[in-house]
Amino acid sequence: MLSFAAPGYLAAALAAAAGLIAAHFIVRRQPRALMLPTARFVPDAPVLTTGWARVPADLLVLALRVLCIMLAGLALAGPFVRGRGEGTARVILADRSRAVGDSGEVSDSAAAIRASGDVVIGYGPGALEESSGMAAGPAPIPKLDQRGSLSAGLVAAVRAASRYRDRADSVELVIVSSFAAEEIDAATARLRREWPGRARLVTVSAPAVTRGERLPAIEAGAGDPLAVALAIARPVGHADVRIVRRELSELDSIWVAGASGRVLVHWPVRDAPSGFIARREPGSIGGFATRGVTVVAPFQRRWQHVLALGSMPVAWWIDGEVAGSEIALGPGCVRSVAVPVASGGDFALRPDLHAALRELVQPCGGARALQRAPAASLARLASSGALATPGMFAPPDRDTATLAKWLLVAALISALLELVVRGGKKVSG
Amino acid sequence: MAAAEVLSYGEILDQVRTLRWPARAAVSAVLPGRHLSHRHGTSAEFTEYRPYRQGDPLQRIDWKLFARTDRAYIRLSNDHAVLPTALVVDASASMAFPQGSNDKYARACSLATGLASIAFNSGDPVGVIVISGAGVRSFPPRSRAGVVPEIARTLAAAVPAGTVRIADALTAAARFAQRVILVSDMLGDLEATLAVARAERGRAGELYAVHVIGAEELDPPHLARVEDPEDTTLRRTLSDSSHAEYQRRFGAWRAAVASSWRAAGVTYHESITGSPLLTDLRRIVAKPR
Repeated sequence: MLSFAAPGYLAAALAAAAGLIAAHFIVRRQPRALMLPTARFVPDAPVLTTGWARVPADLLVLALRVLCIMLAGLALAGPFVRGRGEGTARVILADRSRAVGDSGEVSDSAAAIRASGDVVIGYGPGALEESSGMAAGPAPIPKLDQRGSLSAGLVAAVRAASRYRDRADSVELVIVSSFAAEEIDAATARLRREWPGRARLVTVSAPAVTRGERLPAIEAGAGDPLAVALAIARPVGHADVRIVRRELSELDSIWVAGASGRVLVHWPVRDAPSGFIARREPGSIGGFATRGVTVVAPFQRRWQHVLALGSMPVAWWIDGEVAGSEIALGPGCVRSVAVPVASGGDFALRPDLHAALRELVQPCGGARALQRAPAASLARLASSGALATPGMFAPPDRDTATLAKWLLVAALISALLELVVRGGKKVSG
Repeated sequence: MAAAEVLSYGEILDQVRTLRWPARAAVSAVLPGRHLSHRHGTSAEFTEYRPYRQGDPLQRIDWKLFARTDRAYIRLSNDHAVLPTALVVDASASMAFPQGSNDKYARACSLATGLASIAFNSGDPVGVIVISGAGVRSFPPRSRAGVVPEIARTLAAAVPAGTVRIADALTAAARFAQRVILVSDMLGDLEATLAVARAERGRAGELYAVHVIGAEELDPPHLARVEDPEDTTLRRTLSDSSHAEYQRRFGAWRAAVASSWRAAGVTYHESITGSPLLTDLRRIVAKPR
């Protein structure tokens, strides 16, 4: 079946052709001839009248012009041949994040739903297509000890749905997740609207919530102000957190990778934190913020963040520049903080610093909010109405160039023929 | 034109039967007629006595007066003469308008036949010269019965076409007639004709110019591509915007033509196709006040 990537051009070509045909019915001609003995008294000026012809003049020229316009319109409309789709295809979003208690439960649920040709997309902080095409059987879904993002999953789902334009009548979105509150952000509702049909929500169990009792460990010299602040703040949590105030070594990487969920906070005294370089011109700044906590104080800003793939900012100077970032390392993560802590004065005693410290020693991905999302959010996620149709999604990149090229050649030939025929009529007429 | 066309003039002839065409002034013709002559003759209308001169016919001596006075006197009285009339009719291509009906030429023929009948009824010999591109048809003024139908047949037989020299026909007509009536649309050799008229004014007794104008020439269609029938290279386009200018120019030309004829001492009249013919004839033959 012939389809068009930009059918608007075809409509424009049809309108232009209709206008051209109408124009061919309009003829400009000399008025009727009349013998008048007193013609010498008529002022000498040419006059043409406009009238309507019952049959358009120059039918061959008209046909060639219409053909040229239609071929050009067809070429610009991006024609492609597509197959006829049947049945319902599914795009399954499988939650791989820390909000899922048992990854096997997610695997089984996805496998039970999946049919031949369906696509499974695993999502955590990002999204990755786990299986597609005609492969049968459950796909392995590893679990990540990181915060999941439904927004990232929805983006991947909409992209995957466009592939079904030739293969299915309708497409269903299936989300297999615990639907923790931390997975829904400000962009989720907007991205959900990009999927025009209803979605099926399959709930799996969330991990048991236990009260964390671990204090972060710190490697620092005697009298280190950060150690003092840490002792006062006593941020207990679930994660195994180590704060390092020196340059990192291989042993630190081995420690992070040694167990799941370990957090290495690199907060050096003098050296550049991991992922930061020296600023060309160090300067002062009046404060920083992290996850809802703001600390206002004069700081010497000596380091500049270098954007790396997979890094996520966790703290910002008050001018918006990144003051701290987190990057996954195996099952854990490394969190780099470029905020100098003054050794003198009472800065280490400030409550706002303690609050910021509590945020900066959270588990990888930040504090957990594993409670189920509000019912209203889930209702918006599920939506209602009919399933989406493949035509509602942007078409995948098609190879329209080949057919369009030949259509343009044909249009050019028509235009040349029209010139020849019209020129021949002028010579003979 | 067939015999039926001649008979169609019957109504015209019937209407003009009572009209007479008096001469504008004393004529110098020899033949006796109704018009007052320059000559003194032997008619009963006594005017004066003149002493006998050698060479006068003896029969004209008033013997009663001689017996009373012992002197010989000749008795003089007013004489009347005829006014030979010639009609010069333009049958050029411009008279064949509108195409098909040829109303202008038909009007010219009606005028010529009517005027010929009036002149004939007034006792004057009548002749005609019809000039067309195909040639000239003419005969000199005649008094015999049947001359008016003969004029009508001559007019009907001509087909308006081609270009003509009216000046030559006017010159010829002035040779054998003392009343010459030109019936034309004045779209030909007007200047040459006016020159002849000025030259012949003294010799010919009366000169008339009847200007035939087509009603469609006064108000042609507002949108048409027009062509001069006597000059096919002259092509113009009439439109709404040029129609008023055409009428202005045509009107100015007509006024100039009238002025030129009158300045040449010619009695000028316009006759528009479609207007009452009898009114035009009465106006032409009426003695100026």
